[in-house]
Amino acid sequence: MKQAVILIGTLTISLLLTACGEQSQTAVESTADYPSKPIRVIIPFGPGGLADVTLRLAGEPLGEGLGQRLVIENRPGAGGVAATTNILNSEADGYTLIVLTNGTTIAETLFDKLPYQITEDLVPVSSVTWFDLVLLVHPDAGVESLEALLAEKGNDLKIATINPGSTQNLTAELFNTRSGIDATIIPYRTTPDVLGALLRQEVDLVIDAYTALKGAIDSGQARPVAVTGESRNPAMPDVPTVTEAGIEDFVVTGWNALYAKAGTPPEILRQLNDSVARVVNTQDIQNRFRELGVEARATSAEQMQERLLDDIEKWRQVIETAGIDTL
Amino acid sequence: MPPLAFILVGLATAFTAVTYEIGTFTRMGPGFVPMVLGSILILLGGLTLCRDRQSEPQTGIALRPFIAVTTGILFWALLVEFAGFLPGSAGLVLLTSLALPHTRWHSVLILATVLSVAGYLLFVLQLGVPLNAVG
Amino acid sequence: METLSYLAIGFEQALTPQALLFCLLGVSLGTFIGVLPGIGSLTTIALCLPLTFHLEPLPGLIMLAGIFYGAQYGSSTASILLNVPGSAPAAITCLDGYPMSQQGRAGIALFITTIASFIGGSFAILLLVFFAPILADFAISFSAADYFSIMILALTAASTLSVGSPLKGLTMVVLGLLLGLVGTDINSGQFRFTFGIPALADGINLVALAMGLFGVAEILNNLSNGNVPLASREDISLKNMLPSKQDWKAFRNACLRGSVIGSFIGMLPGTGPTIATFMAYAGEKKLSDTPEKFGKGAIEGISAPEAANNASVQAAFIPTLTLGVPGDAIMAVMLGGLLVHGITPGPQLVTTDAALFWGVVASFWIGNALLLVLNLPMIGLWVKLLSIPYRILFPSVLFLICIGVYSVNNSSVDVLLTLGFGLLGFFLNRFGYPSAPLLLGFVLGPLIEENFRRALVLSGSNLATFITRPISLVFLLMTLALLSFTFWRGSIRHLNNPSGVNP
Repeated sequence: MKQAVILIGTLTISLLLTACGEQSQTAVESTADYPSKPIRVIIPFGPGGLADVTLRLAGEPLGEGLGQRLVIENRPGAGGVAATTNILNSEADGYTLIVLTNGTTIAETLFDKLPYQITEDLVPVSSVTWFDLVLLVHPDAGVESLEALLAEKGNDLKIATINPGSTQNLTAELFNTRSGIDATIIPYRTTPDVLGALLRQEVDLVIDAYTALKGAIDSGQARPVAVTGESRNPAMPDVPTVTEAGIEDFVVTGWNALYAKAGTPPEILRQLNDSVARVVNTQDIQNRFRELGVEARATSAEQMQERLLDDIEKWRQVIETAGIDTL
Repeated sequence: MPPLAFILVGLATAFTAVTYEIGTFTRMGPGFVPMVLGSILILLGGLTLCRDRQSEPQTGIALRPFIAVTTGILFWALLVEFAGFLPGSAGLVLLTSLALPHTRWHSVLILATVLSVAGYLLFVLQLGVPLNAVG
Repeated sequence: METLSYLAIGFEQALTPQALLFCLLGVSLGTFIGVLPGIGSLTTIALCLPLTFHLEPLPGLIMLAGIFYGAQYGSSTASILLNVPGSAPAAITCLDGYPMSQQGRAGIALFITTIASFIGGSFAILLLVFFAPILADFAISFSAADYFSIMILALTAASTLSVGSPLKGLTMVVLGLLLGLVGTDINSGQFRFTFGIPALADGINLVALAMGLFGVAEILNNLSNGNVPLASREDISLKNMLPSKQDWKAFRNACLRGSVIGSFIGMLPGTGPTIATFMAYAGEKKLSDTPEKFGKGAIEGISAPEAANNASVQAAFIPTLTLGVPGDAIMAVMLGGLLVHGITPGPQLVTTDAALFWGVVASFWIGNALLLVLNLPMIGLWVKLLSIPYRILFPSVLFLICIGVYSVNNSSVDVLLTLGFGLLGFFLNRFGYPSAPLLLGFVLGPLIEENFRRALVLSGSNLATFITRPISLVFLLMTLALLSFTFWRGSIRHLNNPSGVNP
């Protein structure tokens, strides 16, 4: 039985060493007391991803500012269905928030038979993170610029991205359309696979999020030739935007934003929006986000909703043109 | 009986596969491999029918455990997000314990309590699985 | 040698009280989780990741890594004792481990798997320490065509897994292949066989399938038979745990082979321990002079897969730490954890943060040693588990399976799937259809199709790519050799055994 004691002992120690998340079951308070208990933030991705990491970083100061802890809950699942269903089953009292992303606007088209309407059932609080995608080539490929690459390869161009229906993949489709060439887009399962394809030089170009490939860029494994945003990325000031490289009407910026369930009292929404804006604008958060290669920026609720609707329409067109299947 | 089932599954697969683009061998569409596999399944089902003529299972299938386990797990899966972890788990233990005859309610109740509480402490509080204790 | 001086730094880092504590925590938790059927290391690491944000990067990473490879030690325990795998890769250990248990040799089986795990892990760590850069470059050079050929070899090995009618075994493989296709087709984005259910859009969860097919089905099987299994009165003393001299010889070679196979598969990004264990088992069975003893308690049948299991998991760190390309989904989660600390994973990590890199590597060794020390004395405890009355054991196991499967994606649909596969497995087993080939087909199917199609896209629809690429050619030739060898052996046996008794 000594072994059992050791086992139980170890477990008890680990239980003690880590904080136990208590779940308080107080009744819903009036809006004047908001927040009076921890706030759940549901992330439709697993831990360790960009959305997860940035929200956790911002979550601490945000919690401090609001006076209550922010509890991150990961609910991954295709199309964000698991996460969205969860928040829609909760009260619209401001104690459950959800992170929507670019991917959500894509999912609106890909998963069009869902029993809810993102645009109706959720209301915006504010954006938190904004990030561009980056186009990369192999450093030994002798590519001077994006225009040079297109001129050289033309329709033989091979682009690697992650799975169809992802922001990265649809960006490649959009790129295809706008650039006027007919490149072959080869989907891989994960970003590391995409990087592998580039390292093996079995593709000419790779499109993915900057943060995911920052390590590769910094170490010289991959060379950025263009960024997809409206303006240059401060982390790579010498890299032109795709528009600068001569391709028109091509801007892709990814974002993460906090949303709440429709019906949440407006005072609470306003309070949240204020807090998020304050936290996001602090020097510390600005710096830490920039280190990750993303931008911390808040918006008003109306601006966010406008952006949401624009993106839904934009990606709907891309999906249709590319002929990607919907569920 | 299973060979027939396999033939049916194979047919269903092949029929569904046709609705996806088939393509050619060197330019496969999403329907190609399912189509091929479905056909192989039909073939194998047919072969098994001819060769291993076994219509009865090798040993009998008792009904009671089958019902107990199925309802137990169904109960847990369907209720744990609505009624909470504790009732769901307790229900699972209670229902599945019916699989064996001469249920000793005394020990079943203790087991249900111990498992539910210990499971809650470990999985929900310690590891952070997002489920409520009750509700 | 430079490496040794780096290692020294690493050990210095890893032997601090804090690092040791978290190592111990990680491996203990990992072993515990590994033993429990259902909940696996990926889920646990994902759940523990937030805890590491408040720690220094090194202890945090050490702990997560400890959970990862620790789980591989524990996962065979339930396989051997209960015929219920602790994780998907451990399903193979059920095949020979459980029969050993039924023969009253559970203690020996547990002892062997622990030692085998240690050997496998150590082997891969040696590779990591001394050859990481070369191996990483080698591993990353594998393109779609090469992966395809390896998977074809693995698929051929699947034929060794079926006990009984080869036709039924093959049917299960094909069924597994089909089930693997459910979800989104990676090459086109087409949803296949999802019937409008979003939960299926990402495909069927491997854990749900494995737990249902092996766990729930096994329990249903026992309940239906009405007999309470095992409870053999085993005498647990050190003497009884030790294998015999003959056992040791068989064991040693099997371990080495398993370590090699496991390390190789493990360092290729995108494969997993499940494939490694299957191939190690198949390799042993094919190379053995007495393949008929497999499935009935062969020492090689548990030592090779267990060595392969741990080797693959440890070897997955090779591309991860050297190139910044995670060899596994779990690695990706751990690397994500580094981001919070402002550390960007990538090849520069080895040079810019040498202390971190080598500290982690050193902790692997310490962790494996700790696991050996932890696990051996516990064998007695585990075997005592057998004497728990089944009416208490089986609801507990079902409970663990439910919560374990649920926790992977916080999805009750997965639990329903587990039930479904449990029923399916149970019925099919009753009619003589074995479960192991289905699991293998399920894991391999998507990889085979995906890589075949991608290889053709990359080569411009040129089929020659599979033989012009040297690595691919090698594996295709090996597959051919394996097939001819099997037929040759089969016909020799037929000649020697004209009565046609199938071994």
